[in-house]
Amino acid sequence: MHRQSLSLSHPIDPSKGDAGLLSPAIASTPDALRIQGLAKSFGKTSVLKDLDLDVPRGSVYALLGRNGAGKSTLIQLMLGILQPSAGQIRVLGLDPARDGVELRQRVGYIPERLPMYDWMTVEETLRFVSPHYRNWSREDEARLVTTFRLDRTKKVRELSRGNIALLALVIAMAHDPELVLLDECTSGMDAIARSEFDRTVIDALHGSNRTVFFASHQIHEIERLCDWVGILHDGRLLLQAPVDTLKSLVKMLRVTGIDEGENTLAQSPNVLQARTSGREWLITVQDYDEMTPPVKFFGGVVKEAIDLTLEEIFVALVAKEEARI
Amino acid sequence: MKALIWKEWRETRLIPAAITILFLVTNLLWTLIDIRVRALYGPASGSYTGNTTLISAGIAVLLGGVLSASGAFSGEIGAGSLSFLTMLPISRGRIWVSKVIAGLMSVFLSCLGVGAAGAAIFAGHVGLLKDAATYAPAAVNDYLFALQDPHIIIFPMGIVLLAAIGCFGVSLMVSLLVDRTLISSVISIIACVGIPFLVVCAMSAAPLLFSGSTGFAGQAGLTVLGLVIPVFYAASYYIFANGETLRSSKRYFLMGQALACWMALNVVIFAGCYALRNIV
Repeated sequence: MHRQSLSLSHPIDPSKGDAGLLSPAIASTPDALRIQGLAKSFGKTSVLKDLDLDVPRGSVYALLGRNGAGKSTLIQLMLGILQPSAGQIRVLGLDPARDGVELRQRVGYIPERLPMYDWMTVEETLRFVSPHYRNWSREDEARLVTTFRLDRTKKVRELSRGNIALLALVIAMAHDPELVLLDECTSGMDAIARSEFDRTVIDALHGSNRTVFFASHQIHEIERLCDWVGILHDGRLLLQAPVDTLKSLVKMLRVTGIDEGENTLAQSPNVLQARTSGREWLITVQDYDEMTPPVKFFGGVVKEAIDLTLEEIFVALVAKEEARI
Repeated sequence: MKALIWKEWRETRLIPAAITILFLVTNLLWTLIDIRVRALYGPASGSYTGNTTLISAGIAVLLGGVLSASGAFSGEIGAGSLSFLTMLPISRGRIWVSKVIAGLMSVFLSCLGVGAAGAAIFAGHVGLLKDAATYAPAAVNDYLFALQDPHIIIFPMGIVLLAAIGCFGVSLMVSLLVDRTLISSVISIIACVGIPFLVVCAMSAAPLLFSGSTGFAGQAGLTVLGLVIPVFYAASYYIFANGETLRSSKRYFLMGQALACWMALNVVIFAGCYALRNIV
């Protein structure tokens, strides 16, 4: 059991094995997902590089990353659809490459685009899918279809993007999965559909004690859902931490009276971003200690520590990493 | 498995009907043209014969074999729906088997449809081209007589069906390598013509390479020929089982591996037959 903090003296450096700065190994329950040294390449293109990641059972974990960071590849590896180039994955204690079929019995998956058969009706799609799951519950299916107001007689091609995602959610949930994987499933939806979908997901998952793994770049939507967050950038995990911990460690300081230049501040390992706002500096730091809040910073006076959204933290961390590279 | 086969069958069920209709329409048009030509230039000038019906029936059944498989994977790869199948708790082996079962059902039904339509056309054609009043009953009698001797029909139909099953196998492999059904169909047709041609050329060339001991070459050639159809089925399974998303160039690499294995097997067969040439 180890727990490190995002530290001023410990800048994010994936090359030194810092992926896993805050390890979910603190959880007492066995991990739903455990990844060690995972790499995946397509030809000469390396998508995932030496990735370590742990997701505790029962947690709601958000994997954040820019487009092309490797989130979808990671999920496909977790399901056994792709084979890793190197490293180990254990999902619910199973090896996806060897036990992919058994694993998919226990996992619900909603991909970014679910290209179902558009000539099938909703009913036909459910009747096509259900025989493959040994735990499929017709009662749960009926309840979810009713809740989502899906018309069983409609063909898939007649459904909106949001309703297709809801149908995917029925498929993902009706077999009572232990782990639910959601891969950018709201992209392409308008704001109202996204909001409805999120509310539906929250309702469906509420109190279920399932492990939920989100992969998304639409961070503000999942902020209120998740309790763990990992940031994937360029195939590497920059960090993973409980959301509350991360938000308590990364703050924006409003500071006056700093004589240093922006470059000097930005080069400091614990400063993620620094910019001026009038006569003040707004400096995002990654090792804020709420117990002993700093009074001085680079010779200036700290006026206020501002809470950041997960999206702002994500942007700052990725920007810092890109500047470092 | 039933649900999978049902899905595949829903996607291929129109092919037998389409092939039968195509065969009927083609023969009908040809017959009409033939009647006109005979009317204008005399009875001896017609080009449409009973053999025309048989040959066009053979081509139609082979086309049925190609079309039943050409969209099996390429259509799903192109539309992306293969990822829907692979995310379900189904092994790739089951998906492959379901596609093969549904596709072969389509091939058999194409064969049956074309066979039934061909028999009717053949009977009608014989009656039509002669004096209908005098000869039609005789033509029907000939047709019924042919049915009493089943090997007359079963043997050629069996050969055609076997060839169609072979075309299905070739087309199945091609459909894994191409993302568009139309392109897959065209390449499959070319492959189905080209591959037997290459095999025949190889079998003809083999005795020339081993002058003085040609007996083994014929035996080895027949063995290789007999394995051509299973090879394409095995290759398609190998590519599908190991091809991950089937959108990357890995599938071409896998095809290369499969063909390399096939070439190595050929060499082993020829070497074995050569070594045993004096014993057997």
